[in-house]
Amino acid sequence: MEEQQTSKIVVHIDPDLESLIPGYLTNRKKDIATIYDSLGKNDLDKIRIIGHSMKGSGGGYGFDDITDIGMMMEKAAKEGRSEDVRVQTKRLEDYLHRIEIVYG
Amino acid sequence: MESKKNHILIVDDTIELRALLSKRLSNLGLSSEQAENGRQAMQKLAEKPFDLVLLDIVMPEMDGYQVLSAIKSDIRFRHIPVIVISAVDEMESVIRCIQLGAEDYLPKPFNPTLLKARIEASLERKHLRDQEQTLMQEIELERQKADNLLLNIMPESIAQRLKTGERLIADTHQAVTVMFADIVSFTDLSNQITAQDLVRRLNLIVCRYDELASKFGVEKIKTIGDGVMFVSGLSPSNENHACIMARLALRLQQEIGKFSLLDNLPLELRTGIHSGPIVAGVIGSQKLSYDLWGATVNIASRMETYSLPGKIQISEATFLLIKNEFLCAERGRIDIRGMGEMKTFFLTGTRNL
Repeated sequence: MEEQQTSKIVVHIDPDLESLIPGYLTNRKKDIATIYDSLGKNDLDKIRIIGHSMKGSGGGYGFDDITDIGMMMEKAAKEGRSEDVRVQTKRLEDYLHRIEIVYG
Repeated sequence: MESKKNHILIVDDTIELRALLSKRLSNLGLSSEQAENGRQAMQKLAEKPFDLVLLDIVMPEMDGYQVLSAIKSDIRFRHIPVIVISAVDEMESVIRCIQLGAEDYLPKPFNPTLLKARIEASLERKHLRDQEQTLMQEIELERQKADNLLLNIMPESIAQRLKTGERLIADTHQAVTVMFADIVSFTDLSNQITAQDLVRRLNLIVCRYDELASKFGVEKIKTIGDGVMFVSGLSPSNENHACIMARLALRLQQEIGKFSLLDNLPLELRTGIHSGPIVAGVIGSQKLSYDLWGATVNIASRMETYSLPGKIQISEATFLLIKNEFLCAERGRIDIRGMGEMKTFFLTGTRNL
């Protein structure tokens, strides 16, 4: 098992979006559960759609890393690389665990 | 930018993106509605007007390409600009959207400043197109008004020729029937009622004449005071011009009795008809006038002048054309100023064939 890094990742977010951020991050946590469930069912198409969605939305909120993770996840799912999907999912878990949001 | 608030439809299956776009639009002072799939988008478009559509590509059921295609092929929606905002970053997708009629293509995740610029540019273009369309509609409305005005003062075929740029309209018609119908003693009666009342009542009569002329396929050429001039046979297919005019003359005699300028004093018509050749044309530049000239017009006018109240006097030429279908009583030979002695008849009714 990889050792999880503990240093915080500070993300600066547009204050206009403050009300939307908690919901957005909660939904990414739900995505993680859905991805693991889908991996268990070998439903890579569902993971591809989740990845595509993260790719499109992350940067818009200010989470460029989520866009990057989404892009890699979409590509891995499309190409049937389940192990890479797992890697990106771990990366997302780690990111969500470490981020510290600063509005402004 | 126009003062009215622009209304934008956001079409995306991802709730966070709809919320994000909605927030960004709200900050720009724009109102928006959301559709989570293509089908819902088409429903919303049918329900109310939108100024712009922000469209995702990858959606279940009906994808963005299908929505774009449906919008651009529907006359109700095709004027609405569509900006595709998609995480599909292949160039093929961009080209396909532009070919399908997208106004712009913005990759996800979008830059808010770029989004603002693209939206404002699209709305500005739409605003200009809307203005142009409104102007075109106003021009078309004015053109229709001018056409209707032209149709009010001359036959449709002549109006069409004028519209196509024909400068000199002068036609010879070898066989037509001209009728003059005059309200008897109108001038005397007009001294006894107000001007408003006079014009109102005369207008009712002339409007009824117009209706009947149109119904019988006869052209009303002009109103001269309380008299009206009609012609039939201008159209080549209208060979039965004399009988048509005779029918109209009898009908006008019936109708005039229903009107009165003074209470309990029904009006009477004095009518004259003649058939023969005429020249017809348009004269004037500021005030166009379609008119008829020739001896036929003069004789028809004399038939009216020398007729009697409640009577329809016809020339021998007209009598010969209608005698098999209409009842006529010979009046004899009368001396007509400028024409000499002429044999005339009174048209009294139709034969029961």
